Amino acid sequence: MKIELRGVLKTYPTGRALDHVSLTIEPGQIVSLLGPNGAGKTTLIRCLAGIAAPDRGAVYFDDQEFQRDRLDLRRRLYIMPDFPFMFWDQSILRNLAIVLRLYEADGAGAEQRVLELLREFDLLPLALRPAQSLSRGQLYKAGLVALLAVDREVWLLDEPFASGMDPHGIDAFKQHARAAAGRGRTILYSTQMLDVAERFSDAVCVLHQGAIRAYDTLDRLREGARDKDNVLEEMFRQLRESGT
Amino acid sequence: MKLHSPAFEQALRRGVNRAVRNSPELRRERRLAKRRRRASRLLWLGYLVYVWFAGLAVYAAAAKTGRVATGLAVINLLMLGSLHLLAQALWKRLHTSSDNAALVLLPIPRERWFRWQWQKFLRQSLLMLFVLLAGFGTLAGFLALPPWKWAAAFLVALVSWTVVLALAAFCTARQIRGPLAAITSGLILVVFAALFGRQFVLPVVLQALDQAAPALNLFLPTGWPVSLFQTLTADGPRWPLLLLLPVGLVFWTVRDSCRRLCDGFHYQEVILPDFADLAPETVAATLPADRPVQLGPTAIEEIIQSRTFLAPPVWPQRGRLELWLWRRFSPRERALADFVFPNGYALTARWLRIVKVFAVVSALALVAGLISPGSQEWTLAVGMVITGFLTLGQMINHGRAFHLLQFGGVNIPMHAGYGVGFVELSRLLSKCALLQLPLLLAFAQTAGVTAALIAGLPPVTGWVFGLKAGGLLFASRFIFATLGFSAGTNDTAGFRFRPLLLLGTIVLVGVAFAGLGGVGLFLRNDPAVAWGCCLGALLDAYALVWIYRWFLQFGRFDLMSQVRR
Repeated sequence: MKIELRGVLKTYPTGRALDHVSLTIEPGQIVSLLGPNGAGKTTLIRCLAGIAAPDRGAVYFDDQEFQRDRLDLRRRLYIMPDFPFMFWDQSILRNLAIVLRLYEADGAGAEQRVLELLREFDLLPLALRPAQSLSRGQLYKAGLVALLAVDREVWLLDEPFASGMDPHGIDAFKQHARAAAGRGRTILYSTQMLDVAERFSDAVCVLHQGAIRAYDTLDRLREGARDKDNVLEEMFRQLRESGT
Repeated sequence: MKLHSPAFEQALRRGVNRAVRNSPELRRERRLAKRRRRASRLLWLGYLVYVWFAGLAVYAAAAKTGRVATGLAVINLLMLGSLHLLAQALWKRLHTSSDNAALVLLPIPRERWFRWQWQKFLRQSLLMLFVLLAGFGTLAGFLALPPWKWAAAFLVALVSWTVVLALAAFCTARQIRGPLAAITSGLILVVFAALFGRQFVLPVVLQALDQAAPALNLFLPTGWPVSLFQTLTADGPRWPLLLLLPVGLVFWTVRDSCRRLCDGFHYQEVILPDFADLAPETVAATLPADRPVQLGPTAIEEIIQSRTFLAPPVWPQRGRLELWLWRRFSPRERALADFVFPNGYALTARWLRIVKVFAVVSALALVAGLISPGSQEWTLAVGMVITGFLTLGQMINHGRAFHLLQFGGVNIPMHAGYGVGFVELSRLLSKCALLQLPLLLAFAQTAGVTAALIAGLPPVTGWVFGLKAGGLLFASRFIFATLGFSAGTNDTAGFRFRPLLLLGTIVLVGVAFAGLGGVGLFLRNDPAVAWGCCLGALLDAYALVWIYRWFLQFGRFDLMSQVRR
């Protein structure tokens, strides 16, 4: 699904979070959202998920304007916050069942998919434990299992690499995301880890004070960089030195 | 007491100020921070209204009865009612304050830590002092006391404040909670009843208070310091000075209370117990009673592969009403019902409880009528209020749909996180209410007829009243669904045109519903107008859903709210 933001402006009482952001993300891409704290990364994800409403401008999915009553569009994306949404008193399996039913992904084969994912993320022995008893990393992995099981066209993830997941979980997520992008899924995630973003994105979008400072594929960004192995670090250093 | 070096803080503050002055960006940040601080002034406005209300209540009681003792009894009851809140505030400050997580890391002894939290509690309880100053000041003004007596009145307020704090510490240290909570709830109920039934209830309450005032002020510990004020009145009695003795006794307990609180003040990390597995109900039912707490991977695999975990919830089988409701849901509504009520939607048991409560209340009213005819109506009225609230609670139950989740520093309602829409959600909740309507109407009519018979009114009057009340209770579902949806969002936050328009609309629709419903229920002379008003209230409530939908679609508000700190 093609994602487009046209002149999105979002202001909070504390200041401008998104400053006339225009951006197009083609399907089948993994895009990392980078930027200092308070740059507007999470707000952008919230706007795409319909949680925050732009003051001006609009969000388009496949050239159709996204409005609150367009649940058909809303159900084509899945949002994973930094701390996954859960029914804390319910088991992981029950949480998964609720999500699968809500997203109408509980048809034939759902059980096999869930079983494989739980095994892969080492969650099978914990599948019947209440969500409140799990560690932060385990919870995030459970959230990822839900995301992978419903497999929407757009994945929106807030700080997946600062989620407390173990290296195996991170690796499994990366592999699934790569495969999903190959199937035409669009993956947008925010991160502060430049080295991860540099290796695990097709394109990067750098936000600063609510405005886009750079948005391009990594290959193109490397072309103009002096240090080709640390292109993002160099870019951030330059941004900081220029004071913008 | 300070846990840091004031000199260091001063130097740091000077350095920060210098840095802010030199940077335009930081100056902007500071301006924004100041703007945020203004929001907390609204809270102060709320405190001011509370203090003013307390003063007004004291004045009204003294002026209407012409007796200072009644005004003092109001202050006394205000203190008594606040005692539970103060004790709770002290408990929370000591045991659940967010400071504790930071303080535990500091190398300070427990006694200092306790003193720090105690001081914060004292600051927190200053509102009570202002309430007392307003109360005694009002009485001093009412009696036109000379200036030196005003000073003495303020001294009495100060003593009263310290007494109420000492009592709060006493109750917290000895874990006296239940009776205090009951007293506070009872007093709040009386205040609300007096406010809303100004014509009927207020005179009765005032009369009762006037008669009981001397006893209340003498026997309640909160009344002892308050009674000292009587010595300031012209020709006032001098015996209240004797109450300084029990007041002194209360002060004497402070040391012991603080010692107990300090000794029992242990902050430690909460360690969660080892959780048992939550097997699906169908699986759990087949397991032996002495089954292992945790199932093995093979058993879990079987649950997944057999699609047991995806099977519809078991709650429809728990009762006939539940099954009846479940059968009337579409597949999408079933998925939504599972999301909104993950622990099931109880109908049969809840309705049985409502019926039982009403039966008990009716029986009590009959017995009360045999003992004292006057108490019969009161018993019945209280019972009707309780069953009314129970029924309303059942009708407006919206499960988990509007629970708040944290997402990057803001709260978002559950439905927004899972992409559930307003229309489908409000339709589901309305359907739940609609399918209970026959039950509600049958119960309301039975309750109306029973109440009419006990109160000696024609049964038809009770039947009609029950029918109307049932209809209005059902209509309130629409209003509560909309308010529930609005509560977790910032739709009415801020002073812009659109939020104000929405807020105004909600208030207008709410007032219209209450007004039309009230007229429809209590107008007896013109049945056509009364029924018209009831119908109007129903349509008014239903209209709110559509009006809110319009705002939601075109409004620019977020489905989230700032976390309150």
